[in-house]
Amino acid sequence: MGGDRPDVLRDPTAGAAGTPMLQGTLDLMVLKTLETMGPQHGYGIARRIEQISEQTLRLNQGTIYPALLRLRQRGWIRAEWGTSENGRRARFYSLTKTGKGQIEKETESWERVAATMARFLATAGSR
Amino acid sequence: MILSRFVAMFRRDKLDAETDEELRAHLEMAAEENRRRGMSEEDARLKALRDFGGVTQVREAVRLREGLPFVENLRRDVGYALRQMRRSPGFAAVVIVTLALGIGANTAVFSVLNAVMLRPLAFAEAGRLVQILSVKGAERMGPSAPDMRDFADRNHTFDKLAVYDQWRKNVSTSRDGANAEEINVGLASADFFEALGVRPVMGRLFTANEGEAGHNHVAVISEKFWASRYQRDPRVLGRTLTINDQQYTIVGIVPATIPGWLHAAQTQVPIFEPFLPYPGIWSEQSRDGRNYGAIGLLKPGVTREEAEADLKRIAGDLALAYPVDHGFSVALRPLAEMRSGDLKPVLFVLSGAVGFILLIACSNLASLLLARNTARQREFAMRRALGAGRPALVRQVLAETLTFSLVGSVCGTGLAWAAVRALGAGAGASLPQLADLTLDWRVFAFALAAGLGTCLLFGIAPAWLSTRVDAAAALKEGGRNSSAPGQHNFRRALVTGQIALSLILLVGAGLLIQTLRRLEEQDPGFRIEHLVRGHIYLPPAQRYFPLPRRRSRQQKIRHVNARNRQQQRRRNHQRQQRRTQRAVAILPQRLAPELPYPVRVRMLPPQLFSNAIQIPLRHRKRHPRLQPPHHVDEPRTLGAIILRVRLEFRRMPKLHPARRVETARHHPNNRYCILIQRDLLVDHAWIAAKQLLPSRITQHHRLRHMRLIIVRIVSPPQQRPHPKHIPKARIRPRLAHRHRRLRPRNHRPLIEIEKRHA
Repeated sequence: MGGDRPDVLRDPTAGAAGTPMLQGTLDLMVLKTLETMGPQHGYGIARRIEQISEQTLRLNQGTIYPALLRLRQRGWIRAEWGTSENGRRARFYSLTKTGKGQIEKETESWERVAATMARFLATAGSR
Repeated sequence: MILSRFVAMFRRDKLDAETDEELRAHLEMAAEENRRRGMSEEDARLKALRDFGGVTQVREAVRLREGLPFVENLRRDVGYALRQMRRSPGFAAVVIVTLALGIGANTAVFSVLNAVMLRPLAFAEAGRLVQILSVKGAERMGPSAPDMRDFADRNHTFDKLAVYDQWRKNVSTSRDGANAEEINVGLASADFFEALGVRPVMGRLFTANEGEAGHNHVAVISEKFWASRYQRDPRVLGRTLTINDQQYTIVGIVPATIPGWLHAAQTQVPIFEPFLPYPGIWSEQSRDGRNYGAIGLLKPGVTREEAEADLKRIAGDLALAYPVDHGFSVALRPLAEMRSGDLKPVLFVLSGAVGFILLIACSNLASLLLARNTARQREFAMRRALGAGRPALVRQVLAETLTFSLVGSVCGTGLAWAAVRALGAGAGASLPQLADLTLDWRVFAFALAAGLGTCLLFGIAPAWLSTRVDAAAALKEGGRNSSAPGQHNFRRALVTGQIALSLILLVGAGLLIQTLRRLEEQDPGFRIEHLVRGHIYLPPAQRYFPLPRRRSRQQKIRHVNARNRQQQRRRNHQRQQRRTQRAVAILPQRLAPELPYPVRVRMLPPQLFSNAIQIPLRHRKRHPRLQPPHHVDEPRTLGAIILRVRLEFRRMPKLHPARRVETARHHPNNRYCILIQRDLLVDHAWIAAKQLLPSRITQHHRLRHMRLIIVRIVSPPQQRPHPKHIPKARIRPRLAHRHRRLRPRNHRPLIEIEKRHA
């Protein structure tokens, strides 16, 4: 029985490749994955994120589940029990309307941040 | 979202099962994919687990997000605390009883405070209601009726101004006046009810012309009276009440919301008649008849200061126009203060005292807990070793104290309820504000807050100190249960604090008891043993006894006394004296320069002082014409005024014995001598206990049909005096005590006799 753990992804395998990631970015990735792939179960989402990031992000797949719960509590995704491709019972997640709107908002703010950083780096680099 | 998390607390098992299934599915899918890639069964499974990360950690993380961990932990801790309580019931009992007593006492005092000060008044627009007082120097009293009429006519700041009074009268519900009882009857105009926002339940209120003589034989009764005497008969309107031998018609019923303390009465006034104490109440002669009740309803938006300034202006005008009003000003008091005013200092002191008691209880419990928790060091060490943080341990100890506090709170509230019932029964008789002492939501909230407060107070320090565990040392075999130095100092401080507070309380209580005892043993200045006092209320017709008849009654008394003088030694013996209140006005011009306050004069038969009360008189000037049986109310008789003098009176040099004082009005040619009796505490015998200063009544003599009778019984009243000694024939049969003959049945010769110090 401990206190609340901070929601920062920890890589227990110290030294392995992989960068720590903030929860906001993981959320956005999950949402985007669901937008592209449609309804998907937790394992599928985790594998997809690994693929897209081309193995640079070695996240512990389990960390996706607290994020999924968070998104569910915020009403951006919803969960239903269904059957997977190999006949297993699994929980499938899908986007809600609010979730869709959230993607747009987050994308915008990301692009703004990226643009600002780019400008910054450009000016710092130039002489 | 919080709501779903709150609900999730109760569906914990199902949610856990779902999470488990989901995670299992994930691992199996991962293992299958690995197998498809060519790994062996075992390798596939292990790689899936590795890729996943810590399964237990994920499960924990999900659980934390799903429920409300704080509440769940609390639940668990409280459950544990309850189990601990059951395991050591003795300790639990001590703690709970201590807490119950402390919290119960505080709650009881708070409920009194609530009833007297905090609860809003039961009137609409209570914020705009004020009480109006006439002020002269340091004396405050109710105004007179003509003054109030002028205030009402000339003010700009009030919606309504009403003057009212209450008298005890003989009331009977039947036409012939049978079964009369003494009831406190209120005298009020419709303005009074309207100012208070009281609307009739049935019927109507008084009209304006019913306040005039000849039209005022109407009455309004309260709902309680209607329920108890008429059983809520809807045809009660139009029935007749007999009040002091006069027929009154019931015209309306008002709800029982007018509290007794408005009328300085112990219970609510059940019957009202129009405000007409006597026909001349509005005439100029009555302008100095003060001490009537007066309330006012401010206009919306008007502040009390504005209204007071307005009335002061009018009072100034009146003081210039009428000599009797000279020196009088006006003060306004919010009506709520009328309810609470005198009790405030007492209540604050009492609250402080019970607060101290609670502090003592808390520090007691703190040291108890500390002592107890030293025995649990190993348990705490174990938990620390298993990974509990220090905040978790503190939370656990606090949860235990919280459980104790809540249980103690509940028991304390129960105790307070019982105390309040007892208090209401006893003290309600003397303090009308306490008549309806109930526990409302404020009291419960206070009890809860007190419980939480004590929990924090006596729980935090022990919790902090007890959980300072060195896990390794404590877990060693043979580790002693020693208390850290921090605990030691804390406990010393606690004990010191407790002793200090206890001393304060003891000293205070001791002083209080001493003061009470001294008050009881005070020498009132006259002989009080075997003194019995009583009063009867004579209906109007009695008052108009012509003088000779009154004298003959007194003669008869004396005759009776004389006859019995022979049997004095053998039998019981009663002497009766009568004191009439007779108004004499003192010309203010003569005395005003000397006396900063108004002067009350009472006419007393001389036998009162010599025989019945036996007050030693100084400067006893036995003027030859003062001998009994002369009556001081005969015109042109030289009478004597005995001024009751307090110590301050000595400071007034111009007033000394044999000073002549003039009277005005009824007996313009009377002159009186002054006999000064110093340090006289005669008031113990009278009903108005507060009047130690000379004060003035006027104009009441024809109206106060109360006769005070002082009876000295030479021997203890266990033996019945002979009935012949009491002139019962003089009392008309239609009095309230009709069926009580003036025979001392049960040793009560008259109604409302009180035994005093015998």
